[in-house]
Amino acid sequence: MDNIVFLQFIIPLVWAIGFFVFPWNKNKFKVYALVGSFIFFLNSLRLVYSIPAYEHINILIQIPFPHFFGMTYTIGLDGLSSLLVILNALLLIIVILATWDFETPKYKLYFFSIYTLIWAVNGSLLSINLFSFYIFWEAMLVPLFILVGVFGGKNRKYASYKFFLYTAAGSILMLASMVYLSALAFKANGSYDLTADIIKSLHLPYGGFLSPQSLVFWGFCVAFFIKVPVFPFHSWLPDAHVEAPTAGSIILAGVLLKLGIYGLLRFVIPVFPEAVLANQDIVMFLGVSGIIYGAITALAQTDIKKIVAYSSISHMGYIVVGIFSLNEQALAGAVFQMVAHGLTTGGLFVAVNCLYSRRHTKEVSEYGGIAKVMPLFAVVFFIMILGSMAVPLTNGFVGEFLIILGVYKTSKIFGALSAVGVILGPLYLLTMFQNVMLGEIKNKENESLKDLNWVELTPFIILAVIIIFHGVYPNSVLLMVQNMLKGLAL
Amino acid sequence: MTLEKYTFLQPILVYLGLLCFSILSLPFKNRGKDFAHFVLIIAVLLFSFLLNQEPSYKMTEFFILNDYKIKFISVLSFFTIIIFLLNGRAEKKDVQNSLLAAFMLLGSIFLVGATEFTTFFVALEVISLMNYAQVTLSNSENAKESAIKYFIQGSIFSAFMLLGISFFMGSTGGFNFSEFKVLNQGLYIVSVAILFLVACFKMGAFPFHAWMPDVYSNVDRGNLASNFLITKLVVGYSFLSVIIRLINFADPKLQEFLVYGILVISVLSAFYGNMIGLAQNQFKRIIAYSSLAHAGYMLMTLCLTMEEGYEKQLMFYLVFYSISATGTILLINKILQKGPNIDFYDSLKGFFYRDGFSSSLLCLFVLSLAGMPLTSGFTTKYLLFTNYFREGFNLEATAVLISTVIGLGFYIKFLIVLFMEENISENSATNSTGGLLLVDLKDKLIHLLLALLVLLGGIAPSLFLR
Repeated sequence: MDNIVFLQFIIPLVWAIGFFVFPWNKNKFKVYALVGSFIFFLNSLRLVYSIPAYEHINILIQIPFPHFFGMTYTIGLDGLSSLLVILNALLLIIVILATWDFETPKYKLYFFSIYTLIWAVNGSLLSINLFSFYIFWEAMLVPLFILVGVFGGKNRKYASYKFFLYTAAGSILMLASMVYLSALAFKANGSYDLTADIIKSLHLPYGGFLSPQSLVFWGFCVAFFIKVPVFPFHSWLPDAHVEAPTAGSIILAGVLLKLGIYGLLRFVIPVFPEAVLANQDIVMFLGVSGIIYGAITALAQTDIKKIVAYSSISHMGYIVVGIFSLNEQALAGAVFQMVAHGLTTGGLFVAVNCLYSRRHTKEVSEYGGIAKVMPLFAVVFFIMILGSMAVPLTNGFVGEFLIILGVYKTSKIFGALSAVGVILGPLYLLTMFQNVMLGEIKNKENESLKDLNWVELTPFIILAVIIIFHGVYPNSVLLMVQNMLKGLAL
Repeated sequence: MTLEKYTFLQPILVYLGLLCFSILSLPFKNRGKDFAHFVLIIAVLLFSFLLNQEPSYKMTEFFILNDYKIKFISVLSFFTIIIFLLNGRAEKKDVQNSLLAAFMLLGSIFLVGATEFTTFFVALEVISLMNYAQVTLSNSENAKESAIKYFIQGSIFSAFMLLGISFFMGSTGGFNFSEFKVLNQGLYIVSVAILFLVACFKMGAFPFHAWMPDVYSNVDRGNLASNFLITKLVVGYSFLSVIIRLINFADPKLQEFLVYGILVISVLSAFYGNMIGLAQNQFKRIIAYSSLAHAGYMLMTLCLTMEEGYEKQLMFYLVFYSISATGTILLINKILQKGPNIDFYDSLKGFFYRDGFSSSLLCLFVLSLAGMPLTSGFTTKYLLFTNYFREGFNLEATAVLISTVIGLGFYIKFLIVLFMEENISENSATNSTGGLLLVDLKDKLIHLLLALLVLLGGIAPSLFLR
């Protein structure tokens, strides 16, 4: 078991270093990256299916760091983190395959950034200790900053700068809360170690907005809300998505945003019960605002990637509302939606990449009638859209249905408002599909477009199979988390 | 003096001789000298760390060195020699620079070991005079103006320091600040307040920072690192540790006023340094404003009580902050030296793709200054801010932490120009050298050593805190 955990932790890092060590050419590095992603994915499966129980955290390894303020790096997994660990590893394969033809002279730095980013995400998911979670959380910033800033579009510098400052600003609030808690923990236990249980045992007093529990709660919440992102902390996301290369967009939408939700579920909801209850309505209101705002703004966009980016804000709004409704069904739906969104939005970004690599534009008006020349692409793109707009028998439906059901039980108003997103979602997604794929070919340049080749098709097939499988058999995900989530519900 | 006393002094004499020899011999060129210097560096370190003198060297009542202080001086000497190994011979005024640094180092030794204010004042003045001289020696157009400005402001604050010392003498009946008894609390608190303001000037804290950007941007590049190191590390540490001691002897009611003043200056320094730093384009000015912000983080230490080795943690902060800043300055010096000597971000455009090794090191140092995890910059801040929260300065510590986000804005610009500029600019250092920045093995080793220290400070800080 120790070996599996160790490998899980070390594979992406070792592979990342390899890009600067081996004197290979680009093609060899592509194969090297793909092999690494498969090894990492298989090891993730081995790890997740070897843990004894999903309803509580299984401590797998404890590495003492006597020279780091006497702290311990504890690696552990439960159902929630297991799901995200697999998703993270799966998306690495998708990223490598989907960007197989990505042209850059700086390919070493490109692959290095992808692998270090995946390593940092993996590290934070395995961390039980808040301190190590934070370190990996911050470590994600630099590779993603490079990925967006070096390999992105025209305004990449602006987008990466904005992304960095937004997330770093959130991190500082988390750091302030964490340092405050560390100081208390040191007074109480003589150790700086902070886990969810230790924070709970500190019994921070709650008595209004300015009480310690409330301030620490908001410190964590704002940091996680920026990452999710929750309306009104979202403005970095559309820029980052539009300017990021496909690899960056897939990882960003697939797992990075989920880490904000993961943080809320791990270090906020179970830890600050009074503050959560007191601020429940405010956060649910923000979530619902995000659902509606994201959807309406997506309707007004002319750039395909921006439409997908704003749809992300809308979908993440569902997850936030679901979590803060503190209802068992909504919580299960929110976790399910995390995985579903990671897959469908990842798929949508892969689709955008297929179009962009052929025409070098993301403007909807440049397309039209693409289904006639790319029928295979039209089918897989449509499956991704069906998943994203939550059509029954796809994974999106299960997540959104459970969330709305659960939220409605907690608050009828928020339940009803959440359902508005179900109407708006198909509106912007189908409009986009119609304008891009259907009708007559308006632009002559589109007449000679080639359909997908096997390398391009493979990630779609993988994603489509999982999207439908999860839609037909949702228990494959829900069974892993439902017992754990019971403890979080009211 | 009896023979016994000379024997007692022997380690310090050997120590000082070693240092003087190593620094004064630097300008003379001959083969194998670099190797000799490395041996000297190792000798200095080994000598000081093998020494385990308990309780203390007591040369006289006014100069006491204990094991802890000797280690501090050794670290300082170590870095001074490194700076000279890297920069000394790049300048024409090698001998003058070496002499100035040697005197600064001697002043530093006396400043660290001083136990009463006359020695403290004289040592501080020696350092300050060398600082003024360093600025005047520069070839820069505005050097003279900066030096005069610096000298006049420095003289005014020296006068204030004398006033503070005389008030201290009046309130305690002596100059000794290690052991004293307060006889007049009113006068005493005024003297501490005056000395605190002098410390703010010396550390370049807001609103007494005006000299710093000018001095940093005009001092010769060969002298910038040593100037920075001595003024920040030694003067900062010595002054802050003395004032921490003094504040704790003040009457609790009067102490409160002082603490509020310190908090206001700390928060303002942090915000001002980070905000004005954002508007800068010149490296040296960025370093100056970054150090102004860091002075804000450190000044808050004065509000802490004397318990639990805060002084040690302050020294840890100062040492590791100095390592990151020195690493940044040294690399930038190299860039300016090999390029067209244009002190702007432009010189770094696309640099990563020509010299990945140097750029990665520069990134590491800058990220450490920004306080990113896994670097010493993060652990030092974490430690310091945990102390502030532990002592109940929640609001102030949060405010200062938030100001660090503003600071990130200018640190990130380094990364942007290094990685994200497609076309290497005409001003870029890479065009004029057409190759790597760190060519010599010696250069590489020294920069790697600094980088390793930054990483070790980030991963295993307790190794050093012990």
